[in-house]
Amino acid sequence: MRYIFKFPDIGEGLTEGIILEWYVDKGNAVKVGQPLVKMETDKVVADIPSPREGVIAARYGKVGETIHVGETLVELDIAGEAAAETSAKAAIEAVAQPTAMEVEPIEEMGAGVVGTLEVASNNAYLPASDEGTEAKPAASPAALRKALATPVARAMAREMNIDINQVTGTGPAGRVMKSDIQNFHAPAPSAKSPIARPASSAAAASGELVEIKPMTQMRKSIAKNMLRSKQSTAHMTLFEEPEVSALVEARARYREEYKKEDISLTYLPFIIKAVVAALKRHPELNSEMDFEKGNIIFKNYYNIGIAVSTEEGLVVPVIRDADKLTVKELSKAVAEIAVKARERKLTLDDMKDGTFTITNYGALGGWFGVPVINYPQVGILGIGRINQQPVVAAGEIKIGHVMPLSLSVDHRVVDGAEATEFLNDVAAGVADPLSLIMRQ
Amino acid sequence: MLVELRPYDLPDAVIFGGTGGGMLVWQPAETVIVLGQSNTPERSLITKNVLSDGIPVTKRPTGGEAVILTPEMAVITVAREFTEMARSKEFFMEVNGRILDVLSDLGVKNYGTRGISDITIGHRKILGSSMHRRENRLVYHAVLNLAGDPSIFGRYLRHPSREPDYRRYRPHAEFVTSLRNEGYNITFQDIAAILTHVPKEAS
Repeated sequence: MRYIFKFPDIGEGLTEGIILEWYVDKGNAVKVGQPLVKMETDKVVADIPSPREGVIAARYGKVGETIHVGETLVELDIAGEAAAETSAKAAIEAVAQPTAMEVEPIEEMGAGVVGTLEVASNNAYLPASDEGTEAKPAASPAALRKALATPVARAMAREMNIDINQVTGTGPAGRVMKSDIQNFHAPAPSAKSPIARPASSAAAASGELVEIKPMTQMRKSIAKNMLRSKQSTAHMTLFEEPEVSALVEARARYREEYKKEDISLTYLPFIIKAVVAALKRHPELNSEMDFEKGNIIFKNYYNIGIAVSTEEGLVVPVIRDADKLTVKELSKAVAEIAVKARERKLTLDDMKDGTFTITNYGALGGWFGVPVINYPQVGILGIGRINQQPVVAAGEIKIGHVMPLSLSVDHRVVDGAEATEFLNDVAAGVADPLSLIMRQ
Repeated sequence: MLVELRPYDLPDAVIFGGTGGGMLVWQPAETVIVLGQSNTPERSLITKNVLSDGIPVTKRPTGGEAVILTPEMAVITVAREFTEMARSKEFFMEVNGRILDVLSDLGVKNYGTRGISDITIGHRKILGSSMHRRENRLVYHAVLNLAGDPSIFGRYLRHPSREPDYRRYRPHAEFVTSLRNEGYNITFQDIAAILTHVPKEAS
């Protein structure tokens, strides 16, 4: 029989631990109580003993990886019952006509070193959550099953806000693998299905005054990062409204030419160029403060983060070495990260090591804002929608295109004068796009 | 130049490596940096300062973040074998409760517990603890800052990768305090004398 042993709560009430050392390999025979793996939570290092005698059929997670409570650590083939090696697969097939006997083959125990880990059932399949108040139709087998999955796949699904139980696994015994998550496309919600209806609609329909929804991992990360930024920096925001008719004209002039190469020319590459040029003149805005050591770290590279709104929340992928890229290359890079974000294919590598961030809420119709610094960076530039306004040029009033700019800086690092000059330089750059090329 | 880790040879190594229960309250003979199990010198230490000052570095068997031990601190190590599976949090609470009683007996005010297992005065930390579990045996390990200068932490330790909520990103010097800094002239002997008279069931 295949026995699935999950990482138990080792007593602090924490939800995750780091693998420090594996004591066993696949194929090793283990006895009850024999240490399998050394895990560390925030405060405790613990050897996790085997709850059963058997042979290690699979182990999950590498040294240094984080495993969450409830995720599978090892699978054991229980001695004398090796014929059940395919039991997991058999159980998945059996779900089409589930009976109490048929869903038993996988013994999914949560018993750990410190009591019992709560699992909803000893069966391989768990009922889906019961959202909404209307009568629930018979759910499909896929909706009812609890997926077997690798820890990496579970973490990725959680990060991408994918219900892993909806994912078809291609690994051993139907296990959901990392690649399955990457390739997963959520089924379109069905208008006829109350389960597929957005929870808010269901709550409204039922007359509930409030609805409590658990935060996704991404929302938790956003909340933590925003709070950290506000608590750790001295925010100051400045505004500017450059007249950018020349930029509008330049984009219009080259847009069709770019389109022939299947490149969408937006204003963003010009703005990135203007920002990088200004960062070179004002290195304080391309730095970070190391308060502990009393240092300011000036960065001689220009990795520009672009805030992107996705269905799951805000992400900030980074265009690396933006100073080395042409307008055309920046256009491609912007398009690439937008596609990756939309298809939920961004990796941590895509989002780390930014030195300055641009947030373009103008694309959504926004005007001015007070952007929150992407800590530990010290500056973020908000771009509002370009709109036509009366402007004064050479003593005459004319209609011009105006781009609202909002710059937030960490006042601990950047003085008001420096921030003003930086913003003026950015404004001058987008007002005169030719200068961005000629002065590069 | 890399920081070399020396084997864990501090006085309580015998407790970590042994069996059964016991308690040791001891005073470091020298300044030494002790990393938690998953810490590395590169990530946890300001290696330039550690190397230039010749501070020895070792790694304890328990979890948690790096600490600095100096002769102005007391280290408390308590081992216990349980007949049934005990929860580490309960053991933390039990031993920390005993230490809080001692501090109370010595006249300390405004103390409390914060985070998973820290002891604080006001909102600043005076004791950090961690734990090691092997089978049914738990070993509790804590460092109480009697009179150590809190600025020493910032010289050698980077900001930890994990921190309790109440720290709120404060640098070491603003987060850690000592009994002396808080106005209490309590010696190692004061602490050890009371702690080592713990009731048998708590040792």
